[in-house]
Amino acid sequence: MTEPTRGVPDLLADFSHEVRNALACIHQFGKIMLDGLTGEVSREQREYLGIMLENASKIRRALDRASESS
Amino acid sequence: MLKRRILIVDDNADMRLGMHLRLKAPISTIPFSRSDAFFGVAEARKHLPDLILLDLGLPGGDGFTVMERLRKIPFLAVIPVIVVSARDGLGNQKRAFEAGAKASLEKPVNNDELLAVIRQSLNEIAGINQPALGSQGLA
Repeated sequence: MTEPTRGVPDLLADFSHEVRNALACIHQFGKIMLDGLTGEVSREQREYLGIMLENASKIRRALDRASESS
Repeated sequence: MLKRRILIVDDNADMRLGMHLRLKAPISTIPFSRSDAFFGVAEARKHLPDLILLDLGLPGGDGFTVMERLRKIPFLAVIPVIVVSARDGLGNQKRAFEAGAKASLEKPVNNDELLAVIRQSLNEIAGINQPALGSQGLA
């Protein structure tokens, strides 16, 4: 027996879920480091972690816009 | 510092580790080595946590299935559930509240918001069967 073919909306929903989960992990561990839970963070490291988190947020906002318009 | 046991039900191991790191200082958590809908309920029955952080996208049934099963068992039905999910859409939030969730947060969750919601949920049940949890209990 063959499985029914999944439609594009379902595939996009799965894709969105996977990307959001990955982004959530990036954000979570970035924040953990930024908040000093894994040790002291230098000013330079803080700046780079901030850039990383901001770019993760940009992807997230792009996903939100795509979800709203679909 | 007052310790509370938070059960984290999430199929993403990285997410569980991150949550555990986030909560281990202010709260005692029960870490999972694996998680799905069946084990979510089984671990709740085994450990009787003070609160459950629940993902919606789980193998073996989803978070709604977990909440449905919890609500059928009287001594588990009183445990507050906070949904933390990467699923988008207000429909899932509405369903989560209808299924009995105390709150529904979208990943990536703001840590201050998460702790505030946890504190509020624990304090709501403090009058029933636990000592009150002040701000010193959760950093």
